[in-house]
Amino acid sequence: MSFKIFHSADIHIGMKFGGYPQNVREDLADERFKVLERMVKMANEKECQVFVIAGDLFDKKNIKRGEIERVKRVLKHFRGDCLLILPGNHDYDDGMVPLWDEFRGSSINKILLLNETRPYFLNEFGLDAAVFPAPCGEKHSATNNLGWIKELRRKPEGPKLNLGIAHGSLEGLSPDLTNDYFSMTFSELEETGMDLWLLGHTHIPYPETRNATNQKIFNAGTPEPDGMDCRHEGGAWIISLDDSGVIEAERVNTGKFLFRDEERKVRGEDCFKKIIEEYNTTKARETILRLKVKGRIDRETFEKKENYYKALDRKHKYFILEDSELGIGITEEMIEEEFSSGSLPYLLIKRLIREEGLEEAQLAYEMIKEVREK
Amino acid sequence: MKLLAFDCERFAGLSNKRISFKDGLNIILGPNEAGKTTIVEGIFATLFYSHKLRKNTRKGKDFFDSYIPHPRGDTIKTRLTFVSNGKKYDIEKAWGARSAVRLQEGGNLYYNENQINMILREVLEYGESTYEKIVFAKQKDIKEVLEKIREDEETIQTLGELMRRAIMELDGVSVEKLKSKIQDEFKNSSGKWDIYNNRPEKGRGINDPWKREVGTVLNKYYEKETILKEMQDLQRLEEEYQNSVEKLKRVKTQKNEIDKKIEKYSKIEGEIAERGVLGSREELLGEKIKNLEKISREFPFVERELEKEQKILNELNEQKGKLKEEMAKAQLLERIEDEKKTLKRVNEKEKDMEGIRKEIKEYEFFTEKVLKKAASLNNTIQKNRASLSGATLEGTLLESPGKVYVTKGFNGKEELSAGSIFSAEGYFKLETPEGLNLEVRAGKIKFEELKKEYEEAKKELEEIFGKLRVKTIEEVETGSKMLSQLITKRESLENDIELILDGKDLSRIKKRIEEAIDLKARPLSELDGEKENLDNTVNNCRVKRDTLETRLKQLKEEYDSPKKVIEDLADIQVKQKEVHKKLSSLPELPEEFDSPEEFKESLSTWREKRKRLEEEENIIAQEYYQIEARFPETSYEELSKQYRLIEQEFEKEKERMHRIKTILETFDEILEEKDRDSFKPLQGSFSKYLNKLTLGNYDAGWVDVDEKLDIKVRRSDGISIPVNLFSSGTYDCVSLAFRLPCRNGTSRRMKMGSCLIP
Repeated sequence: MSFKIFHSADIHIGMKFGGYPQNVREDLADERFKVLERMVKMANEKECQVFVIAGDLFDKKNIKRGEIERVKRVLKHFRGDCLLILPGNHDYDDGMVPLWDEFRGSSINKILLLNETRPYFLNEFGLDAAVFPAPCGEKHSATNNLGWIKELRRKPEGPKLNLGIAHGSLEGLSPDLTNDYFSMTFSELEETGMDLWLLGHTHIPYPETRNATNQKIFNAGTPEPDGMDCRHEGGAWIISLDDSGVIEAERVNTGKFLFRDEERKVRGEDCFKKIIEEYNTTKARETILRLKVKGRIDRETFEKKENYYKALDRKHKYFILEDSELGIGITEEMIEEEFSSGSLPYLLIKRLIREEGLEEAQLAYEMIKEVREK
Repeated sequence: MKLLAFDCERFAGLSNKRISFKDGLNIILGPNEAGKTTIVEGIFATLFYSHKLRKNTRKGKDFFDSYIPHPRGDTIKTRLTFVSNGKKYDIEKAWGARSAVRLQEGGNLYYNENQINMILREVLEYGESTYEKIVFAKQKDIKEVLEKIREDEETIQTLGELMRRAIMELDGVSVEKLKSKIQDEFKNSSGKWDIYNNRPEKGRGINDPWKREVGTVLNKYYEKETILKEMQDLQRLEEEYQNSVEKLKRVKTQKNEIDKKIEKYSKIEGEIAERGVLGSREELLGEKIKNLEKISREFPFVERELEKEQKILNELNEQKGKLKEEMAKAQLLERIEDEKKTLKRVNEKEKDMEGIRKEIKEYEFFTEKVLKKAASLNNTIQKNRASLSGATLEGTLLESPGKVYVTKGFNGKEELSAGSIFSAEGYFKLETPEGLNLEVRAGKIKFEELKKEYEEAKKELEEIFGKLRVKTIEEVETGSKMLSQLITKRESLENDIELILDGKDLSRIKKRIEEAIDLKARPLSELDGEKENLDNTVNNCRVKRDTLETRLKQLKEEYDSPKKVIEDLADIQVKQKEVHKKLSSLPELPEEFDSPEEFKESLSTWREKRKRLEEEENIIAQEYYQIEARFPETSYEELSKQYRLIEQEFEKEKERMHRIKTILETFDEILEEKDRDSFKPLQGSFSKYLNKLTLGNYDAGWVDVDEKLDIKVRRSDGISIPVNLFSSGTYDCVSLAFRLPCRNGTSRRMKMGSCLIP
């Protein structure tokens, strides 16, 4: 029996994006639902039998009822055999969270909530497979939930596919400095003897290639980037297993928005032009760009910088500028040329250049310009 | 400031004159006495002279003397129009009889001179004195300029400041504006931030935040801390939530465990209850059987035993009767023995009595009466003798031819030898055989009577003595005493006998003793022991019999008869078998319970515990839902992201604040330095003008300010000349050369050419 699995995780429905302006915030929050819609559509198109969400479908446990309903409506459109949903560390199931009440014995009978540490047999969905989940029952944990799988003396015989699904940091892929995120290692996953491990938690995918053959461990990566610390594109895996047990995986792009947190050094107007050119991409409208511009430029260019910024702002979904380290390339010669010897600007800027630093001189220069009579 | 027009309705020789000024240099040309100076003075007065100037002051007198229209006129009236900082000002003044002032500033009209002066002071910036000496200088005053400046400290200061500004404000940057800009920027950045301690002023954090004049640094700080607080609150909430979940889980687990037990045991609850009932019944029947078996043995046994006991009791009672008879005999014998002893004692006493009686017989005359009589007689004898002894007569027989006999008192005659001395009581009588018979009596007594009485008493006493066969009264007394003692003894013995007999009749006693001679019995003590033993035995036997009797009565009442007991036993055994059969068909009591009661009790305890747990669960669940409802929309992770961004922004704001502070400090530093060296900027211009005005004779000038303005010039031949050595012409040139740069310094601010009036 061959399988085709759509593997996603870390959708984080319910994120609020508080640090962004209202319109951007709403769009980013709404996109979490839209990406789920896109993925379901994609899984249908690719005729996937199983849709796996390996944790953090939701961003937190207190999700509004309306949002849960919306998710359920989206998931209903999946035409495959079953949807496997694993509680992650954000949407953990401690047996109390009402969030998952909606999914326990879900009205969408294709949904199987993997909230217990026991094998789930997919025969009822017509699939010759068993699922071995490692769900999160709390927000933080120094130990992962693979223990029960490791303790199994032998895998259940019969199912063609023994599928492990876990949520937590993967050693080497994402740092877990505080050891709080159900940390797992490649070797312990391999030692369980599962045919395939589908993971969630780390927002970057694993493997980092577009295609993979006979890879046994996959990390979904977020389907839709959710912040400046998430600079890659959103995606998911479509994993196929043929009758002979060969695994083929294809990375598919699912995300809409891109987050770019970048820094550019400018020396003159050309640099600004290059930046404009560089960021004039087709994805710019969906890009949230935080750009740090630094360097020393001439006064003329400095006075024009706002025009470039406006251009970047117009092009992008949201543009965050940080140019506190950008200034006019002030030199003593320039000051001597621009100001009368002995005049206050002359004395002040020259002394700041000599004794304090260019940043101070730059700032003083800008103030002088503001009070200077035209 | 730029003058636009000066109108002069009446001012000295001028009337209804209007002077309009154009941009740039304006030159007023005119012949002598045309009023050129008057115009300048009119402008000066309009700006600085109060409309209330009094004629009785020196300034007023000079003013009115110089400018009241002559010959006719009592009022001076001018009007000046100028612009400053883009605003138009129109000031009208009238001095004298109809003094008045009015200022129009844009659309505003002012009539109050104090208010007007405040506005003008703001526009003009400097005081009257500075304007008079520097701006409105007249040619005739040129020479005085230097002196005036040097003498006037205020002007020197103003001039110094003007000089500094003149240079520093080159390039169109106002010191004040720039300073105010930097200060504003600093304030906007650092408002209410304690830079030294790197915290809000007075440590006022987000719980007590500053509301006014809060700078960007503090704003960012508050923003950062607000998010941090939200994060901390959320973390605490998470902890509360976790605790609540843990509690709930614990309760749920307990509940589940109990549920399992309840579910497991509820299934057999009814049957175990039936087992309990049947078990008890079986047990009861078993007990009944056991009891009836016992009764079936006991019933005939009791009957037999009772019969046996009754027989024994009868025999014992017979024995008891015999013993009682013997005991009566023994008691009688004991009494006889006692009576024998009484009799013996009475006999002993009687014997004693006999002796006493004999003795009494011996003393029977020594009665009290006899004793009294004897004593009385004895007393009489003694009394009479005593009477004689009171009249003692003494004599001496000096010589006697023969025998002489003497009778003394009641005594007999006795021979008296010659030479003997004799004495006689109351009487003596001498006799001789020769017939002498001499009686001598004491005259005081009646010897005869005495003697008679004495003789009679003596006789009677001797009779008594003879009867009693005694010789002395003492013997009488002794005999009387003896009799009395014997009588007492006899009475005592009589009492003793009476006591011994204790009211009994002695004869009867004797009779009884005689009658009991043949009576025989064992000793009572022995019989008592036997009787006690027999009584005990009888009692025991009686108790036993009574017990048996009672028991038999009970048995009969309860079980009717031994036969009936056997029948009942058979019935119950059948019933027990039936119950046992039913019990065997019921499920066994689970091992963990000792009895169906314990099973029932445990189930009930679990159910109660489950109920309590359910209540507890409801309470915790409520708490849980309350906590859950408190969770904000934004997750901790999202807040952390925001926090990191704002923290970066906060650091940048602080960096900017420190830069502005550095700029401000540098700025102040420069200003301070320049204040110390105010006149330096003047030096160059002064030298330049001096060189031109002296046609190259002098090429350099120095201006030093200590307490006074000190000016020095250097001749082209290199010799320096102090001001007091200047020639008149040189003095004019130096004054003018000094004034011109001063004018330049002021004119930049005032935009008003100084008036140089030739």
